[in-house]
Amino acid sequence: MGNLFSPESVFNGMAASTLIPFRRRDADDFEQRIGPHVDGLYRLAFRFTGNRHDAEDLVQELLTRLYDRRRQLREISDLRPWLARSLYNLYIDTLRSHNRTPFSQLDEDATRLDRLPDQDQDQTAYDDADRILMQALGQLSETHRSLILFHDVEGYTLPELSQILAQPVGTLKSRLHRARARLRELLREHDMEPFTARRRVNG
Amino acid sequence: MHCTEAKNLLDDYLDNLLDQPRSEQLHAHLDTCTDCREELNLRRELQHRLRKLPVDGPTPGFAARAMHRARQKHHQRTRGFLAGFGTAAAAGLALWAAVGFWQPAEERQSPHIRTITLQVQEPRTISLAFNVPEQERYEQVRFRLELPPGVSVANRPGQREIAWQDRLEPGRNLLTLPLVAERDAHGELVARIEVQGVEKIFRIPVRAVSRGDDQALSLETRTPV
Repeated sequence: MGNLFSPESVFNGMAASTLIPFRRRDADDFEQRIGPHVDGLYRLAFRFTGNRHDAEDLVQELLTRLYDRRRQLREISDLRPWLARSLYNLYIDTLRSHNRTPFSQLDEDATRLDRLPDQDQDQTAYDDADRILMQALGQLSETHRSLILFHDVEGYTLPELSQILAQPVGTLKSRLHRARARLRELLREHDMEPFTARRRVNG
Repeated sequence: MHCTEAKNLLDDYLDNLLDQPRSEQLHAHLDTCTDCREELNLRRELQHRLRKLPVDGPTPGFAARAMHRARQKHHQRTRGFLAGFGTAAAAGLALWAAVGFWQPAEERQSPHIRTITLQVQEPRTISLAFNVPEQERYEQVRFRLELPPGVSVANRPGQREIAWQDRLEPGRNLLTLPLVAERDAHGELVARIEVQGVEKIFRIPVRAVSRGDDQALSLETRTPV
């Protein structure tokens, strides 16, 4: 019976990285860490996929994969960009594996508008400007589109994007400027009000 | 400042990335140039619109449901311990020994229990998994681990018994345990777990071999008893 001791006392003095005495079931931990990010991930997924169903599928798939690696998640201090990166990579993989055409390569004909969210749905009010904007976003290249969605729509900062997209801040900044210029060009080309109306009225 | 230069600065200006002197230069230009001012307004309007772009919210209860499904799918996939070995390998754990499902069996050896193989004088961290059904939770569980002669807790020479009280939560509970063998050894790690007055005993074969032994670090799958 001698030599009895609790794991905590045994493990006292050992390098913290050597072990965590009793790693409890980590589901609660997972929910506490990831839970607060789910809404943001859904928003992001919605931006990428353009509809609720695919957005939910994407987030679900991500969470399922993350749960398998939940112990690794503990080592990540800044989860927001890390999660965004995982979601984005998964989105790109899904596009590739399903061999589906990204929005950016779809025809810009009238059917494109039918694909926009809200037509079947209840709550969200998209005004004409929103539709026009989404249509123009859909015509950007995937790189430009994702940059604008991340930065200008969802408010990710350039340093965050540098982590997410594994590119230097400077590169991303000039790319973002080009993406915006292209977007403005598209809006002008199509004479899309109100983005050109102001110019005409004032000019 | 010329219009071309001014327009190149507008994005940085709107993103609050311009330093004070450049910002003042730009302002000076904007004061005199209607065209650039309109361009600025246009871009500001566009940024505003982008930020306000609506989202169709998820279906009600989505977040909780998604979390639940993630957990469920994981447990469906990892039912049985073999999957656990893969997880442990991916997580870089030295060795994974599954101590067993919580089942009404007096004493049993999990078919998935493997031999823990150590090299003499080389500390190695093993992981013991205690699996508990999803709906169960055990408070006040008494644990006692006994190591075979020649094997002890790393940094604690001669320490061959560990006993403590803890709780077991639904799902997989992991205990990581640093072990070291002082000499060649052949024996068992015995885990006694007592909950609600009932004791379960699990035995995991342990073997320690000197460096150079061909069998060193091999993992053996124990056939079910």
